[in-house]
Formats: sequence, C-alpha cells, structure tokens
Amino acid sequence: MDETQILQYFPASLRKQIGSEDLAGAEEIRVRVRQPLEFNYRDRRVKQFGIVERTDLYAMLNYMTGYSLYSLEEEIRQGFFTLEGGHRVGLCGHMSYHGTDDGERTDVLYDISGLNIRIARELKGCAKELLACLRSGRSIHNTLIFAPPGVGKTTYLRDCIRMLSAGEAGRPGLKVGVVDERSEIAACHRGVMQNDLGPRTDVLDNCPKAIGMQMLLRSMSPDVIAVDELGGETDYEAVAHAMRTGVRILGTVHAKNRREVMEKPHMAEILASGDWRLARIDRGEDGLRHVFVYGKSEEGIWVN
Amino acid sequence: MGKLTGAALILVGCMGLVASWLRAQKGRQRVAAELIRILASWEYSLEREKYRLIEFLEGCQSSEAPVERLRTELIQALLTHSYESGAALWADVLENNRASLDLGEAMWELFSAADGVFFGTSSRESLRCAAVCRKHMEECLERERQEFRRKQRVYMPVGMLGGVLLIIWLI
Repeated sequence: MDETQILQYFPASLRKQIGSEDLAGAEEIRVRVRQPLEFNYRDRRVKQFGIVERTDLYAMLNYMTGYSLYSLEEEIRQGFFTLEGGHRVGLCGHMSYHGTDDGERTDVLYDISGLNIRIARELKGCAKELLACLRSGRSIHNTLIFAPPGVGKTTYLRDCIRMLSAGEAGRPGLKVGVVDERSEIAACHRGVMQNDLGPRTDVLDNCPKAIGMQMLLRSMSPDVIAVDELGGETDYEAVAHAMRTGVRILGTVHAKNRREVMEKPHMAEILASGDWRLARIDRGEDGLRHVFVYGKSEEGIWVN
Repeated sequence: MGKLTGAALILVGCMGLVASWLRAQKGRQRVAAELIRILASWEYSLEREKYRLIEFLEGCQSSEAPVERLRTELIQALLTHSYESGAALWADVLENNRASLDLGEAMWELFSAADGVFFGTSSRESLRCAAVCRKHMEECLERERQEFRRKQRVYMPVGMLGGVLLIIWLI
C-alpha cells in the first residue's frame, strides 16, 4: 500500500484540511483529540492541520479496523495494531484493569485519545554495506543492531533479512526464521506479509519472542533467527538457547550506546559466549543514518 | 356457460388471494429465519475466528434475495468510509432495505437496534448482544409462526367459503 493511501483513513473533514499535502518523507502522523493533526517528517519538519475532534479519531479507528474494533482487542490491549501496508498505529487512552474469575487482572484500553501512525517504508538495499560487514563464511555473525527508538533499527533488520533470504553477492540464500511479535518486520495483515522479506523467510507473526524462537528451532530448522526489540529476560534466555543449537541470531535492541547494550540482563554472558557483532545506527541532523559496527572491543570495526 | 366461467374465475381469484397472502407470510418468515441463521454464524465467528465484519459478510452469502441485497449494501457501505460510526452505517443501510426485508414490526424493531451486535468495541460485548438479539428474534419468529398458523386456519376456510357464497349469490 502506498503511503498516500493512509489518507483514506481520515474522515472527510480532515481530508479536506490536509488537501493535497505531500506525504513523501513523512515518518509519523500524530492524531490527538482537541489538538492539531500533526505530520512529522524525516528532516524534522512538522506540519499541522486543523483540530482533531473525538468523533474524528473514532471515525479513523472505524475506517482503519473496518468498523471492527473488537477484532483487534488483543492488539489494542498491547497498544498498537498494524495496517495494510505495514504502517503501525500506536494508541493512547485510558487503561482499565479488571479482575477475572481466576484472580488474574486484564487490562483494557478505552477512551482512546491519541494515535501515532508510523509510516512504514521499505528501504531496499539500505543495509547492503552493513550486511557485508556481518558476514561470516556462508552465514553471518550473531548480530545485535541497536539504536534509540525511531532511528531505523527495524528497517535495517528487515533489509538484512531480505538479503540473507534472497542471497546476494553470489552467496546462496539462507533459511531465515522471523519471530515478529509486534508485526513490524513482516507487517503481516490478515496473515499476509506486507513487506518483502525474501523467498526463504518463515514468519511467526504476533508470537512472543521466547516462545517463537523455540518453535522455529523445533519446526523450521532455520539458519538465522531474526527478532526485533529484544528486552525481556526470557528473550535473552531463548537467544542463548538458540545459539547453543548453532543458529545465528540477528536482533535489535533499544540502546543509545554500546555500554547500555552491555548493561542489559544476561547480555555480557551472551556476548561472551559467541562471535557477536554490535551495529549502532545514528541519525544525523540531516536525517541521514550512519552505521557503526563493533566486534569484541569498543573500537568500531566499520563505520559508514 | 358464462355463469360457470364466472364462478370458476371467482374461485380462482379467492384461491389466488389466499395463496399470495400465504407466500408473503412464508417469505417474511424465511427472511427472518435467514437473519437468525446469520446472527448464529456471527456469534460463532466472534467466538472462534475474530473475523472483521467485512470478511464475515463476504463469506456469508444468502439464498434469500432481500438478505443478499442487505449484505451487499453493507459491504459497499463498509468500503466507502463515509459513515463515521457503525451505528450510523447500520441505521442508514437498514432503512434503505426496510421495504425489501419486509419484517414484521416487532422483528424490525429488534433487528434495527442490533448495531451493537455488529459494531461493538469488544467481542464479548458483541457476543452478548448477538445472543440476546438472536434469542428475541427466535421468540418473535415463533410467535409469528403461531399467529400465521392461527390465521391460516381461519383465513383459508373463510376465503373459500366467501368465494362459494359469492358464487351462489351471483348465480
């Protein structure tokens, strides 16, 4: 889906105010009740249009979900859902907790008051040089791509997966298993991958990372397992287990610098147990991305 | 000969009137039964599949022309993004189909208030609404059937008798 088609989810009153606004270069669209509609661009430009009313926001939710909010209950509970085309919609509102018969508490998000539409773009080839640096024989080094939120970790990860799966520079493709807990990598919409992840990629969509990695190991015999946003203790345990079976890990993690990565639970042991590469992505003032790759030492071994 | 032809025509006319009333009643019951079937199928879908409404509607074709027309118009309305809320969409599309659905007053009131069944914000809420709506529609249909049987027992002999009396009177 073309990014301009996102505009079809806006109510007529807002569409009129947006007019023929160019969405090229837009990274996020912020929708907040009783605030202007806001387009945030890659080069840090911000454009605002009109005022969003509560009815506008709910109309948008209706259009985005095909008037079927109930079908995305689980996703809404987690605070986001994915549109056709891979665009991710984050939600804000009033979180309510309810007790259940067996004493558990479940949370429900209602009175939704804000949306953040992150426009998905595939930048095919953006990770070509990075991947060349991660190669190890026929496969790759275990790799963690790290950066603060919104810099492009997932975009680089997606491109690495696509190239590994399709094969490049005369190398045959590898079997890549993807655990896509937040539907951001493959952006599956009703089970169909919206992003090109190559011909040898198997995706477990909407599956917790730790469980998904085990499932892939048992059933799909992958050469590489790719996961986005490692964070929980169980995630790292699953990574350690996967490494023991000889599968290579390609993951991302939220961190500003190498030290923050090392401070994550179990990270030091995991990094010590294998041949790892850490790739840091920075965004310059001009919006361009720069990649730094580290090996065992703190010295960058490759900089772009 | 003319009298005989006239008598036959009167008889045929009376039978035709009764038959047309019967057909209308049966048709109305078939449409109501079909809507109940769709509600039951929707409940199953909410419970097991978590389909979106449009996907559900695309997969539930009906052999009853008025229900099929309603289904098609609902799909079109869902795709146009011109209604800000599901309730508005439901009210408008249903009103357009009121004549062709030809539901009885009680059944119409139940079904036209069923926007929460299809456009709820939680599947649990929709499921409850669907179960309640289906139950009431089933009761309503049963009442209509009983009423129909009662009327059938009265109207058919009265119609035929009226025809015969008319013939006797005219001859």
